Amino acid sequence: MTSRKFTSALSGTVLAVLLSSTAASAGFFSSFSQPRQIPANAQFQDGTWTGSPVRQYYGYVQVQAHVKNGKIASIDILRSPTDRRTSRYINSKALPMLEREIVMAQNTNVSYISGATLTSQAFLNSANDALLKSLK
Amino acid sequence: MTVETRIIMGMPITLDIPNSEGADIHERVFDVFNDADKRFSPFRPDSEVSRFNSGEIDAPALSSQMRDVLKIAHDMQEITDGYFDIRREDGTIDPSGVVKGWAILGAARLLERDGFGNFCIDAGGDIQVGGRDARDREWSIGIRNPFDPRQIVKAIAPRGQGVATSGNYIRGDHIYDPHDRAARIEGPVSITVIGHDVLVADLHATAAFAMGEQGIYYIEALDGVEAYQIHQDGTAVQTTGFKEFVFS
Repeated sequence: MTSRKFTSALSGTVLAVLLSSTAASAGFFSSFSQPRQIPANAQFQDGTWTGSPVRQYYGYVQVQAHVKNGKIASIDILRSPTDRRTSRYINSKALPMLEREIVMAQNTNVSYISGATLTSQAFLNSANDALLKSLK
Repeated sequence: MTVETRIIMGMPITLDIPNSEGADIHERVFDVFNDADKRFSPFRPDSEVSRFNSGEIDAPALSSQMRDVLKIAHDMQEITDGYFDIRREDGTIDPSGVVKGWAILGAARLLERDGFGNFCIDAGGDIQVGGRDARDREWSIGIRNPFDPRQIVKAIAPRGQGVATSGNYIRGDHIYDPHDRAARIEGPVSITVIGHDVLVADLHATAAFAMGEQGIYYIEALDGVEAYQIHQDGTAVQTTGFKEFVFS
């Protein structure tokens, strides 16, 4: 997995549950002891469904599921834990040869987004919540 | 429907296959990931990895898929001087760091073999594109802002190549200058790598992130691989050839 450090922060039990997942998302979620489970043959209602924020370590994870033609088209991440205690300090000695810049948000439309894998119980719980809301 | 997401191996996997209406291709591509999960998960007691770890099966009895993955892991360990390592402290192995990219690449090859040259596979933020999108444009990929997941900080066109990001969005690594313990250097929070294919990109992203601040130099020294490394202080460093892929 890409984010080895990230996943290694999770308990073995959580990973065991995550990685023993099976094919259908609905069936997979039903393996958790949720307040309300998604049946394996669930029909999702088209639309955009936002899961509850779920607390994890230094912040909250919240996702949004987009359902089209009864299937999940995408799951977007609305919030993920970040350490906001960032400083603007730039170490002038570090990495002198390569081009350095301040990161700035872009408003370009893109097809997909590359980021560190969000494999966590909090992600799965928020996604589960979003999909529960979309059940017919 | 030509776009579908499922959660397999604990991560969302999206298949976008333009002009695939009516075909069963999505089902078969998702099965590549289901099969990889069944074979390689160290957390399934009946997986090949678990049975190898428990001594139930010996090296000569391993499947060709398992040999392939172990060979890749071994080569990467040598290339990275040990930064890439699938061995655990207890002596067992966890090849998950290889399997994700390996499975995405396998899925991409299945698509190409079956005549679907246009596709985008996004498995938990690691992406392989082929051909063009539904509107006949280059696939465009954003790099997620590690400080705000709703934003992107770059838009790139991988042009048939693979993109993978390694990082830790919970906290950046805090690195200390050994010569001055009081001066805290803000370490990388993510590194996004573009490579010939997503397996190459993923392997090198994993290794580079483990190297901390120096990871970007490791990528710079590799042929045909480019990267964008974002630091805890809100700055980013890019390899020399990275610009060629950026369109904003």
